Amino acid sequence: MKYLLSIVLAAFLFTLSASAQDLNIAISYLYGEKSKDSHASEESFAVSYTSVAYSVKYSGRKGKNQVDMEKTCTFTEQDINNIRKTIETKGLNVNDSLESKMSKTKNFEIFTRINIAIIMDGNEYKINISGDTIEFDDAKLYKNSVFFITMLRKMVEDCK
Amino acid sequence: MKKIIVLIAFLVTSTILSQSLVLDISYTRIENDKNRSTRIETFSINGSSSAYSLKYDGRVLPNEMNEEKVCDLTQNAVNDIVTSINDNKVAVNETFYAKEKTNGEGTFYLLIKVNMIYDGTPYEIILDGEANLVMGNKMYLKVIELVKDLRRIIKNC
Repeated sequence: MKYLLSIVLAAFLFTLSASAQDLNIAISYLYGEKSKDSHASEESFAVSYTSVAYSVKYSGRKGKNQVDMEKTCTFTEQDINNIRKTIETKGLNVNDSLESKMSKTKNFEIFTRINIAIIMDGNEYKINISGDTIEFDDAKLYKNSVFFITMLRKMVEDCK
Repeated sequence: MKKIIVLIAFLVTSTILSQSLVLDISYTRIENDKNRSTRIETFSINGSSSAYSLKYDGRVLPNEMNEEKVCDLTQNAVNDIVTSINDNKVAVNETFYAKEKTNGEGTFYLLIKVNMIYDGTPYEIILDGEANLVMGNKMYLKVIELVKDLRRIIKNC
């Protein structure tokens, strides 16, 4: 009986560990303004197992609250579940890209560059988006990617 | 003269605020029993226009009646909603998925979706799972406070 219980426990722990281990995320998110007063922020997220590393750097004109920072913390199993489910429901488990064509000819633009790499359940997904945000306003891939990034940012704020 | 300027500034600000709010909330409660009862409450606000509905499906208690209401909100009412959004800090992107039970018979499920465009920025909150787990989430408490405020505001509208 004890033997059976230890097998069940081991199987349970293995399942838990495997499900969490099989999620790796690397995100780089550049967001800025091209103008006489150009400025930008660049964030990076790295999630491996339940470990998280986050950094944000600002260049050009800075607001009062815009201070470069780095943070490492640990997500909970529930956080990981939320992330996995969000990737699925927001359709981010794809290989896709968006590129704005007009970007280089404009004097003023709000530009972005998003690189998302996800390894989940043994599959690898890559999303690359770059260009003027106004051209992506109706693009689901852009909206869902920004949703995911802002969601992760808040999770990093809350995590210990 | 100063008072007039302040008044104009207030009115302009209020108008801008009311124009820049689009809010859709759906709050679904499902009981996974033989009667499969479902309660779906929705709020839809666009500027000063509002629509509310409450629908029951499956087993219904005597006091559970479907409701629908469409009305125009006053500027004060819109300001109250904006205040509630700010106070409850629900202008965020967040998801919470929580299902633990493999056999869901007799279990209550909640599915709450908040979609908002506030000051030109879109936000979305999704809370989806077993009621006891969802109700333990911090964001659930914040969203419920907003829902309570909306029920009161719509009732008086």
